[in-house]
This record gives sequence, C-alpha cells and structure tokens, in this order.
Amino acid sequence: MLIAKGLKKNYTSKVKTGFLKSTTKKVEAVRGLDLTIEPGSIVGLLGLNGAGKTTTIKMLSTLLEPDEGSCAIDGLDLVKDAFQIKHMVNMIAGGERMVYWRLTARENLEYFGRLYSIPKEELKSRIESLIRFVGLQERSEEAVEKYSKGMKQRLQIARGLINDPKYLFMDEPTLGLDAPIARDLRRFTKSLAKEQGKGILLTSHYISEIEELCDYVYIIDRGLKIMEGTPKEIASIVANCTNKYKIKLNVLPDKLRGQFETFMSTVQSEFQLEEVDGGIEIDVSSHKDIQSELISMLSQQSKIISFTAMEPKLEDAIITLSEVKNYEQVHA
Amino acid sequence: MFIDNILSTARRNLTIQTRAYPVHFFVGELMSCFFTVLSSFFIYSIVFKGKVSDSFIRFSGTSDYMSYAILGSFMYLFVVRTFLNVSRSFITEMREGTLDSLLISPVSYMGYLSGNMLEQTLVTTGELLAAIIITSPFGLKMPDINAAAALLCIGITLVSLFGMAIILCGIMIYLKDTYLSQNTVFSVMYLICGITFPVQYLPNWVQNISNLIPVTYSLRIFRSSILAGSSIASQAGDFLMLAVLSIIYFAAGVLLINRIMKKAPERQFI
Repeated sequence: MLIAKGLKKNYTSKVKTGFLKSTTKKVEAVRGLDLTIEPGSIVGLLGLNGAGKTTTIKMLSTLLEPDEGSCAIDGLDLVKDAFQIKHMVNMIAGGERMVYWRLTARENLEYFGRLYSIPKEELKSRIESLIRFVGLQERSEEAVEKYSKGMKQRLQIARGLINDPKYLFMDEPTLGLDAPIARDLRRFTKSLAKEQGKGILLTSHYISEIEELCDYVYIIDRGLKIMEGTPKEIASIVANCTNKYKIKLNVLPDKLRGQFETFMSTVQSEFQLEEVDGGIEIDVSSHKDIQSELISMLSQQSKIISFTAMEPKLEDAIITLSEVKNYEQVHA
Repeated sequence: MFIDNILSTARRNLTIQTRAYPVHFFVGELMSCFFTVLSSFFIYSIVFKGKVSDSFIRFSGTSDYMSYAILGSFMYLFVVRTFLNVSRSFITEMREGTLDSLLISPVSYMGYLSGNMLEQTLVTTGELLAAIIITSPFGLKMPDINAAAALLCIGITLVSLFGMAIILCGIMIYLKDTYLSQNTVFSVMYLICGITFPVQYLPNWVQNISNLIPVTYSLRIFRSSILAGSSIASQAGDFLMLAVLSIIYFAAGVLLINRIMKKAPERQFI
C-alpha cells in the first residue's frame, strides 16, 4: 500500500526584475498532502492547472524529493529507499514525450528495459506482449517520429509498464487523444488495476473519466486537499455546483418577474435578463439543480420558447470547493 | 547493472547516430579542424615565411610548426566532440522531454554518462581518422613516435575530459543553458591550452589558469610523444599533473552530478 502523509513541495525560482536584477519567488506547489493508494485500486487526483497534481505524481515516482512529509510504498521509504522504489513504480504522462523519437518502439522498450536490468529473455517476451497489448505490432520497427500522436502515447504506456510496476502514476494520460483511443486506454487502465492488481493514481480534467475509473478521489487546489471521497460523492458535489440554464420566453409579465426574482433570491442563485428579438432571454447560474422548479414556474404565465440546461463542469465544482475552503480559512 | 547502463546507453546513442547522423555537423567539425590547420598554414608560410623563432623551438621542442598545429587541432577536435556531447547529454534529455522517463528508472548517472562517453569516443575516433586524411596535404610528420606514451596520454585525457564534461553537464542543467556555457569553455580552452601556439607566450596569470586545465598537459605530452618520441618516464611530471587533475575533475564531477541530478527534474519547471 502507498501511504503519503503531509507531503510538501516548494519551488524557488528567480524572477527577472531588470537587466541585471532578479528576485526569488517561492511557490508552494504541494502543502501537506495525505493520500493512500491500495493495490488493485484506482485513485483519482483532481485539480485545476497549478493545483499540484504533477508535482505530487513526481514526488511519488521519486523524481522530486518532498521538502516535508513522508511516503511509504509497501513499507519502503520514498526517499531513503528510492532505488528499490524505482523498480516498483512508473509514470505515464499525457502528450507525446518520454520516449525517444529516433528509436523504434522496440528499441525504446529495450533501452528502458535494460535500465531496469530485466534479464534478456524476460525482457524480450515482455516487449512482445507489451507491443501487442498497445497494438503497435505492425509499426514496432519504425522510428517513433513517424508515429501519430495516439501511437506515441500508446508506446509511452508500454514504456510505463516495462518494469511491471506495482504502482502506476498516470498524469492526464488521455490528454489530446482521440475518443476511441481514450476509451481503449480507460478500459486498459481498469484492467491493470482489477486484473493485475496494480495500484493506480490517475489525474484527469475529465469528471466522466474519474467517475468511470476511480474507486476513490482526492481533489486538490493550490497544493491543498480540499475534498476526498468516492466518485459518487464527488459527482453529487459537481452536480450541485454551478448549474447553468439558458431560457428563452416570449414574455415576462411583471407578476412572473417578481415571483422569479423572489425564487432566485430564495435559492441563492444568480441571473441575467436580456430583451432579445421576439422575447426575453434569461441566463441562470445556480449551485442547486432548479431545472424542474424553473420550468414549472415560468410555464404557468409565459411560453417557454427554449430551455437549455448546461451540465456542470468539474472545474466549477473545484472552484466552488476552493472558494468554500478559502472562506472557511478566513473565518476560522 | 552499471556496465549494462553503459552498454545500453552507448548502443542507444549509436543507433540514433547511425539512423539520423547529422552529416552537416560532421562536415562542420571536420571543416573546423581543416580551417584551423589551414589558417595555421597561412600564418606559418605567408607571415613567418616557413620559419619559426628560437623561442618557439625552445617552448615546443620542435621546429615543425605544421605538425605542431595539426596535432593541436586533432586534440581540439577530440576535446570538443567528447566533452561537448557528454556534457550536453542530460540537458538534451530535458529538452527532448525524456529526462523524466530516464530518471524515474533506476539508471546510474555515471553509467549513463559513461555510455555517452564511450559512444562519443568511438564516433570521434572515426571522425579523427577522416580529419587525418583531409589534413594530410599539410604534412604531418611523425618521425619518432612513442606509441605507449601517446596512448597512455589519450587514456588519461579521456578520464579528465569525462570529469570536466560531468562538471559542465551540471552547470548546463543548473543554468538551463548550453550555448553560452559550452562556447565560453571551448573558446577559453582554444585560446589558453596551447592548441596552435605554446602557452608560454601567454601572460603569466593566464598560464596559471591554463595549468589548471588538463588539456594543456595532454597537448604537451601528445605532441612530445609523437613529434619527439619522448617516453613516459621522461614526461613523468606532465603525466603526474595530468593524472592528478583528471582525478580532481572526475571526483568533483561525481560529487556534483548526484547533487545536480537530484534537482534536475525541478529545473524543468523553474
């Protein structure tokens, strides 16, 4: 089991303020993060850009040393036993990098396999099965630079599995992939955890991906954990975050307008009214699902020309959670 | 594991080199060597009318200036190609986006760098053979070569270049720069290590600096072994200095690289 407690990581960078002048800027990338990954489970790590997801993954994969906190992977210390841990973990990042473009898929896997000191015969058969697994059999002898984005990503997945890691860290693995490939990757990720018993940490921007794959989810913002729970719990929060509706009515009588404004105030929601050709357009933004109430109220005294409900986004949920957390901190 | 890292990295680099060998780069390096010799030839034959001063003979131990300059340019080619490519190896990984996949593995930094050094030594030896052919019209004479001394010199020089390359590698990663760091180092070495003229012509304080660079001793030993047939014993002082400096640079490189590489993934962000 992977148990991380109070992980912290700061970066110090120089910011140029003049021709020969610069100041140092400290960025707190991760601020005391606790998380647990059990073998055979998929744990989601969600957050906006700059939340600290990649830094967390890089710490867990031994690339970065935490400034504070501890992490034990199957009883081994992340810092002291980094060499042994490197044999047990691997990382797959979104994008086309992390493999050598001038080598073929097979040569890439051979090189990385030898860095892990995998015996020759075992490496050979592992490469064969990985190439088959990611569907690159027909192009395995071609230089990677000739591959499509999806193929490069698939090779990266094979690279991430070359040492048969017990724990796999996937940083936005479906970023920029076509829908069918992303779907295959999700299916594949699930099988790694459920059939092969690997512990997986997955970061993603897509709530659907998290819902589909993860057993447990952490949400972080600016290096702090702001929530954790099952995908169901997270989804319910998302559902209650910033539902948006776009409504077009033919008229908005004064009486109805009064009722509408009172209702909006009661449910603490915001709205904007605009007169447009042939009617009134209303944009509603609410933390609650008020779709049925709106339809019921408005349709009694007016004709609803159109009603569009926009699905709440994960980003909205995270922003809301972050605002709540900040509010709590300020008023604590 | 260490040996495996060396061999697999050397093999990887050779595969890349043979697949996408930058021919223009190879030609550029050879031309640089050729022009160094050519300009020395012009200065020697046109400005100095084919004569060298007594002080040159005293400082260099030879009156054959063209052979002196040709050997200097060969050594410089060797220094630049090995030193340069090994020192750039990690920052190239960083720029090509492969540093993380490399460092996440249990790779030995020294094994990886040694693999780069091995491959680069093999490639540069090939380039040197080509350089010998294209500079042959200028008349390199080796009347009394002491092969044992020359080979030992090359062997120790490789260790010193490796040590210096590791240090420059660390500096490049820290500064996230290749162009300024490498060009400054190579320009200074070209000027003060005695590539085309004896270091004794330089001001004393510059000579003091050049005496801290192993290449200065390598050049002196290499030329003396090839042009005057000097034995290892007769050059014991220079060999000792070269060996001591090689050990110092190598040890400093080993100490530095572990510290720098610990911070290398961070340097990608900042």
